[in-house]
Amino acid sequence: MTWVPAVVVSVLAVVTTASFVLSAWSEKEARRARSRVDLLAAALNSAVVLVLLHQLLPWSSVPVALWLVPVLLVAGGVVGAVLRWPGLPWLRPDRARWRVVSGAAVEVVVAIAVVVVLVVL
Amino acid sequence: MNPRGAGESREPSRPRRSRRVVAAVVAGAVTLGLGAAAIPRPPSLSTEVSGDEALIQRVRDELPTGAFDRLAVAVVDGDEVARAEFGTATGPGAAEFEIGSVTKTMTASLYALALQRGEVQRDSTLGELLGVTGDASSITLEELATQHSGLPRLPADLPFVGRLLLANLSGADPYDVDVDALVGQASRADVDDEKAYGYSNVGMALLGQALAAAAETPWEQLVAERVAEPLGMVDTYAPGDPEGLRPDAPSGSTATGRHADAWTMRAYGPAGSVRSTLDDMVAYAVAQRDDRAPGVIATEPLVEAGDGGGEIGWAWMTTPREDAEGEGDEGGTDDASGQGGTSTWHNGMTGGYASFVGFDRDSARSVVVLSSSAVSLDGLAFDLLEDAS
Repeated sequence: MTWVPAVVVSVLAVVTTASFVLSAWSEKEARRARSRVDLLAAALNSAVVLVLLHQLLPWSSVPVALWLVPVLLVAGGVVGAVLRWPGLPWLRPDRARWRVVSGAAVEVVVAIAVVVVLVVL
Repeated sequence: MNPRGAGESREPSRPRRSRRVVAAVVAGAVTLGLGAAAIPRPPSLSTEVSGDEALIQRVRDELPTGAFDRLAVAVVDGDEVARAEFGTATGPGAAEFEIGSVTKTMTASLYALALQRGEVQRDSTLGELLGVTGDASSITLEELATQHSGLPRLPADLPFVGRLLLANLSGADPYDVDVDALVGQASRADVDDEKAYGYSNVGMALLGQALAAAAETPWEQLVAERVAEPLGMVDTYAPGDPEGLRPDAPSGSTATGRHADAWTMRAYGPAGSVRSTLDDMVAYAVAQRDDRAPGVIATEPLVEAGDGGGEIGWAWMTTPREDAEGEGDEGGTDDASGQGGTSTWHNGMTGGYASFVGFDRDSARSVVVLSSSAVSLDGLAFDLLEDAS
């Protein structure tokens, strides 16, 4: 992997995991998760980018301690998600059920594909 | 920030709130622990080091950036062998390496031997030997051996491109077709009419399979019987497919340190599937240098190989030594100190390995570099080959 894709994956990892933290902790309407499915999707996205980061970054040329940055962000997101979880409905009331379910299904399929290609195969 | 948005729910009782905080902290700690446990562990150059101190230090100094693990280097001057081994590479229990495209030189040796035995002619065609149809049917073995076939470097069909992209991510062997499928790919291939020099894995795979068809013997068996056994290379073999790998056959790692599967390459084996050890490749390189390897005529340069001043024999590349360029007055290959000459070589790379075998008959030097990491070490190899005194 050349440096350009490595930088892209790194930025993607930080942005995605930071978004998870915001969705769990933010009070702003635009950023916070408004359903449990939102929280799960954000957590799943974070897990997927961690896998990408783990598998695609040239770690022999990068300080491995940097790995802990997105991990800390995800851990922070998990803490916030557990605290917020009981107060959230499963689905957003302002969004059609089919849309939520299909979006979640796509995310799960993408996550499985990433894990299969990068880890299992 | 507050993890509960406005109007989300009523305030829980104090004990329930406390339990939730504890659960959140535990979940966060578990996540952190799992993340820390999964911290990347890229391979690092083996600390099991043996060999010539000066060469070991030089290898350390000139090693490029990359995720190295096992690495074996040998420099042979006359009969004197200097080794630098990081990880066990010689003697009993030596771990094998994939030699990648250095395999092409063995296919070239088999071509030379098949000509000697009268099994094929230089102008034998793919149509005659493998039943290839289309533009590629008239390609001769000589054109294949000198990389002037007009065939593409890699199969151009969509399934292979897909496998290649997937393999780049997963570390898998992208070459998984049998001989019939290879012939099909060749029959559908666009052939460049000019047939200028063009390095082709497709071409060298077809050459090997054509020789196998002519000898009515699998190419893997030809390698064993006609190249490895005569030179006593007991740890050199072509697996053919994953089932053909020896027990505990090691795998290498990509340039970024990820696991890479063994490349057995099936029908593409003649282009890069052989596995070997430092001992065996030293024997191979020295036998080529000393003109006593089976089919050694393959090393003789025959035609130009591109615009870089190099030539190609049957697979083997020949380039003027860099320290002689521009210094000689007759072709630039001899300078006043007699340091001129040519390097005859081939390099190789698979998903998890890199290799180089070369020699200079004028200086009687041979160099072998084998690495279990897909990071090119050509720079180091040429430096070692060209600074012979």
